[in-house]
Amino acid sequence: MLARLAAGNIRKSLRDFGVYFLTVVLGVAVFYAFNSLSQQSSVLAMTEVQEGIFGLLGYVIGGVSVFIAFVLVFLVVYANRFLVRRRKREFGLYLMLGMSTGDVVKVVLLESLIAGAVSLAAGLLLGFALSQGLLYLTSALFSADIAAEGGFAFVFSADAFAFTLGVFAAIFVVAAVVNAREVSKSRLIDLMRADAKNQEMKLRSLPVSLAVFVVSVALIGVSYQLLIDNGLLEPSPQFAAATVLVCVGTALFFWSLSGFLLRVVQLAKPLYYRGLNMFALRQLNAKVNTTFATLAVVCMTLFLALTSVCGGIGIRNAVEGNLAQSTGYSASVRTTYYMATSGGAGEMGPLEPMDLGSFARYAESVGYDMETGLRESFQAVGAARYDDVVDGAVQVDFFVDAADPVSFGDVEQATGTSLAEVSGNGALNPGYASMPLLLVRVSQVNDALELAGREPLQLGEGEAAVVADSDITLGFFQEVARRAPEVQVGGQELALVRCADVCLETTSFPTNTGVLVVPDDAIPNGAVLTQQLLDVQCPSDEAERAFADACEDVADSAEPSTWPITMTQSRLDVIEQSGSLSTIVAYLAIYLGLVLTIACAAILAIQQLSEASDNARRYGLLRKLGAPAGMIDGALLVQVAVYFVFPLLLAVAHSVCAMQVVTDVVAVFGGLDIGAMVVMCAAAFLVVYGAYFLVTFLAARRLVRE
Amino acid sequence: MEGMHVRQRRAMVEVRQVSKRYGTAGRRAGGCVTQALDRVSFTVAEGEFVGIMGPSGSGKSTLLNCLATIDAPTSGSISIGGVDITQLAGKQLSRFRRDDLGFIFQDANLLDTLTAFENIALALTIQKAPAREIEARVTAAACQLGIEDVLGKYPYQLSGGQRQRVAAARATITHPKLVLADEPTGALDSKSARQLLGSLEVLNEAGATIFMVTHDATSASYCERIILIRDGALAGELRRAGAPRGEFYRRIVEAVTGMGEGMADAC
Repeated sequence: MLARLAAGNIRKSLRDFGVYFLTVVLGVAVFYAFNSLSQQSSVLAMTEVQEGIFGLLGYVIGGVSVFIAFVLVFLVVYANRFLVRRRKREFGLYLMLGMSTGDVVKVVLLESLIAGAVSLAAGLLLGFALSQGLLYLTSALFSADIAAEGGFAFVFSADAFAFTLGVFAAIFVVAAVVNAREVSKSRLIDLMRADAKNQEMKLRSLPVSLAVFVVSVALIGVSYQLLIDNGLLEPSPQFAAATVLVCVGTALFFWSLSGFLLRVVQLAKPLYYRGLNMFALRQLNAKVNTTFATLAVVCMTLFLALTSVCGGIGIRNAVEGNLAQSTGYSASVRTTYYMATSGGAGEMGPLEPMDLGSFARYAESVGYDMETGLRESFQAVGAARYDDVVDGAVQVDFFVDAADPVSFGDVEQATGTSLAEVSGNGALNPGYASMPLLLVRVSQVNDALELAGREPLQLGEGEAAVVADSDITLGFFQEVARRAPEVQVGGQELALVRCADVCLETTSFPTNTGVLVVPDDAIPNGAVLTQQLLDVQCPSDEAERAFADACEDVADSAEPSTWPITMTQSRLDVIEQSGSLSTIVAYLAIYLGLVLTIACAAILAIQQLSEASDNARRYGLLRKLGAPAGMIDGALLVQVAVYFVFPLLLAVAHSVCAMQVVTDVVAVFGGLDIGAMVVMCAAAFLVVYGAYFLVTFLAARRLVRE
Repeated sequence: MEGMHVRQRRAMVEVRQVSKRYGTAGRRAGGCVTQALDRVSFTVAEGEFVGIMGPSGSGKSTLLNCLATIDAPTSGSISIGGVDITQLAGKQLSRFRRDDLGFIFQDANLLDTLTAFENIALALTIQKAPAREIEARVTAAACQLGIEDVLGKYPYQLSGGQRQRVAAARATITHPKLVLADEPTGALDSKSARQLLGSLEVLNEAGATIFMVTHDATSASYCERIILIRDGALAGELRRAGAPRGEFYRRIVEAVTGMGEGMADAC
């Protein structure tokens, strides 16, 4: 009996609150689809790198989903409370007819659970479809074919299914309990008179509204200034202050907005006394006490969504932009003989030899000539012929003068600057000052630069330069080069006059924190060869792949007369890796942005609809007074528009400010380029938001016309 | 003499052979039809204050709804100010309600989000009256009804009587051809009711044509003429014809009691 009543109630409210069901269904679908992403690797023909990246993606999305789950809990509980409040009279009637409070609570519980189960099922179905769509998107982005025959595979993730089921079951239970509490707490008289109760309207005086409005705008302005001046590279008191100020400012903004609008329009009598303007503004103002918090939360959430989408895609574009810098060569082969270590008390630690065994002796036997070594090694393992796959190659040798090294500490001392201070980076190895700068011959560096088609370094007699590609130390060395200190290399005095921001190899992560480029004859005789690098250019992509494969064979080979390869990176690998990485970032940004936008739009929609149904009598009265339908629609549109547009406008303003700062953060990855993709994403989210706006307006219009 | 005077005035409302049937006459419904109004005809002269009385279920409200263009008669015609309102639709209908009708409801039906002033002004702004006229006109109307001191207050701050007078001001400020009052004293104590009826008399003297539905003999005694209705058909008419209100009141009570007995007989 109770179940039938509950089911009947849901059918009735389905029409009124389609937006709620739609939102839960969308929420479930997006939640499932993104959590099932990692399962795609099972049906896509991915490379090893891509599979690794995809594992990481699954892990990160799982983490973000916990946050998303909290957003959804809030959303569902919020929507449910509105549904229950609206029906207080109905519950009162049940009590009047003699149902016990316990029975009414049971009805409410049943309703929540049935509604939850139905929307969960529908959402999962939609989620299957959505995840299938994402499969094709990933397939396109990663250029990975679907492995199954006929290019079709159904991807189903049991983990994501169970996760979604668990999270939403928990959400609906929480919502049901909150509903039941709401009903069981209320007394019959309140339930029956829920409609008739008038909200006491205390209009704030004009000066108060104005003052609060001005204060809120000022607070927001100050927080913008704080943020722009201090940035968010590291947590600072200023950053915390900016965060608090912008939150308080936003809340006050919405608290005073309707009063401010009302009072300002009242000053312009012809506008105030035109049509239903007076009515619309009063309606807005009457609800301010219950809605300002919602508007503030929605605004901040939209802000988060916008910033994450723009920032995420910005990072993606920056990484892509960086590629040109770090993929100057078809491939780079690295061999490491010794690792420099940091010692205590400003003294360099011992050079730790790498365990290269007999391979090291082979390198020595060919005179540390990498080209010769690799040519012979390729032949030894039966791989591609070296000269067929390589057009040109440049070898770069890195030395440490163990007897008298030039350390970071020496450079700091000579210039009176501090790396820790200039970079402001707390992630520095505490013993960095004793780390030696590796020495490189200028002729080799210039050959390498020429091979990549770059400008060579111009070094005069007695001059040295630093080449670095890591943002952690670049600023420091640029500062150092301005001061042009003298450094001691093998008893020779060299003026450190230049700092070049170039990448000497092809790599996924430029991590060269600085090598000292010196005249060829300045390398001391006793210097130890610690590392070697061979940059090659290949005639074609096939040759490049053959070269990389051959290097892998050589590295894996047990044959003692082969070159010791520590690492090989090819341009294609790097592009693939960073492409995958930036895809993760873009996916995450879109996931977050989508869920948050849906949540915001849904909250606003539910609130407006429930308000419209509360106000149906008022609109009926306007019709009786002869207000034409167009005029009434106009008044309704103004109200819905204020609710949808103002939080969005303020969120956009917040985002624009935040992006100024995010640009600095993204600069770590390379310059921020808010490209066409951001515009497209923003447009897509605006379409979702706008669709909710339209649906809300149309549904509200139907409610007030009843 | 008085009767002659009434006949000389132009007819503002003409109700001709109006019938209203509810329910479906289809096969499945089995002819389950309620005849709410049965060929009702009467006229209301310009500037007249007419009351309509009848027991519950007699068709008063249906008649009022038809006059208010909220409901449409099944057959017959109603013209107000020479316009056949049963033929109006869409924009003409809302324009007619806006310009030619004023409403006073049982529960004042003010918008609780607007002040008394704004509630009255609303009728003008819907008409798109020039903003500079609005304050003067609202204040004048309020003075007429003795509510000028409460214009800045919200409905919940007003007494029931004050609310009804605000509603009366809203109904008459646009100088409609016809003011419809549906049990306007139904929710008021006797003192407030007297004040409101006095206000309606004032408005009537100022030229408003008022058509009031009531079941209260005291309220009815303020009218010039009472139309009695029972079972959807006209059951008689009482004219005050200049008689003192007390005497008119006694005649109304007699007539209504007679109707009540008739009802009892019928059962």
